[in-house]
Amino acid sequence: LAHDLEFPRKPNDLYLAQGSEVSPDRPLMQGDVLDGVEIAGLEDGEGLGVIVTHACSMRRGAVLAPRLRIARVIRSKMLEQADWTEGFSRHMLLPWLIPGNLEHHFTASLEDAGIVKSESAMQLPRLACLSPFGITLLQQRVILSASRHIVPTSDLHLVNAPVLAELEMLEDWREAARKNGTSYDEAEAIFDELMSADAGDGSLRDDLTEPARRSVVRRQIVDVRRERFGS
Amino acid sequence: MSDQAPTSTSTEIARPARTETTVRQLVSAAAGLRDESSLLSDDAKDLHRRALLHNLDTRTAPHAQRPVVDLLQSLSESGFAWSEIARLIGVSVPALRKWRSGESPTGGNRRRLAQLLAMVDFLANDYLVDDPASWMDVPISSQAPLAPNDLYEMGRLDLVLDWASQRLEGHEVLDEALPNWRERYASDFEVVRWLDGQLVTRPRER
Repeated sequence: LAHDLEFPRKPNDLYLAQGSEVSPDRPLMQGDVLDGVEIAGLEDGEGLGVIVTHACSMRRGAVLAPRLRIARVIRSKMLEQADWTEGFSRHMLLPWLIPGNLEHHFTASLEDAGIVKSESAMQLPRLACLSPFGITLLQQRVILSASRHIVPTSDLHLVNAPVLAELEMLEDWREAARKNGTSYDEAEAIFDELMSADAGDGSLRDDLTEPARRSVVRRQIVDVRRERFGS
Repeated sequence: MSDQAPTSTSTEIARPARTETTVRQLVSAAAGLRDESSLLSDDAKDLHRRALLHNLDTRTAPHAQRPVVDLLQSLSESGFAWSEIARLIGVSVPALRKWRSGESPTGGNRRRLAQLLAMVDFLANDYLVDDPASWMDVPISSQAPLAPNDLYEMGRLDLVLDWASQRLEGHEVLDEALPNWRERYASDFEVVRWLDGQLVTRPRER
């Protein structure tokens, strides 16, 4: 039912990429699991952490926000489907986090969270990125933990969709820039200018809020990217 | 007059029995016709869908012979996001990245890529869908977030084509794809554009 806590059926439902398959060109996003994170206020040293800052608050335009909220991730007992729907209401479950090791499970304690500077977070190794559905599962549990509301993931995804569409274009843009020898910072600034420019009928970023316009924006960005970076 | 009256009365008394029989026969005949036409309609729908899928298979074959990098590039140029292509053919985004770098997919995955491109051709050329990648992303009904790409992911390519040809209403498409879609997507929340221009989720007004 729409008002139950939801759950993934297999690793691919939860994770977009894990381990060595995480693209270095992918910008940081909610649901990324980082290693070696020191979280202000926890005083437990370095460890694993998952970014819980909402997808829509991760960036100002295309540029990463200066600070991110990260929750501590720790080893857990074997997690089962019932744990998603009946327990762990203050946790995000991260089963199968380590690729190839289905026995090792982790959870993020959403109460053990704090601020981390983005420039530090960007330097840390990423163990995994959550899939679009995985991000909505995280958001569903963050909202439950903070407000005792259960919001269907399908509604949460509608809000995330424009941001994730832009993120994917930015990842391709950064990849093309890197191959062309352009820095990420410079590439992001150009990308942001392109997405924000308003020719009188709204910007490309505004267009992404309309599902029917997203593919049009993608084609435009691909054309500019090829012209500018050659790939 | 007095001689004719009994005759007339006699005739009127006999009439209801004949009328009842005639109506019963009419109802029976109409019911038979309706059942036959319903069966015929189901058969025709089934035949039409099988013909459409056969047509899609025929269009898939030439694409399946093209290099995978070309297939991916064509899909990208159609406006599909990588994550969307991955979802529609049932693989991970990193798998797609490997194919873009020159690794070979399995025969089954190559065929699924070719089939997606064939679907794009089909929608554009036979059903005059102006921008298939966009069309696949637009919800079928305002009451649920399900779009043609969700039907495609479920393997209901027949319903994607039926929806494109407008042979079914949106709710009929969804009823066939996911009979419990109304309950599944019933929500106390709604997604609206907020003051800052971004989308937000908020409790639905009662």
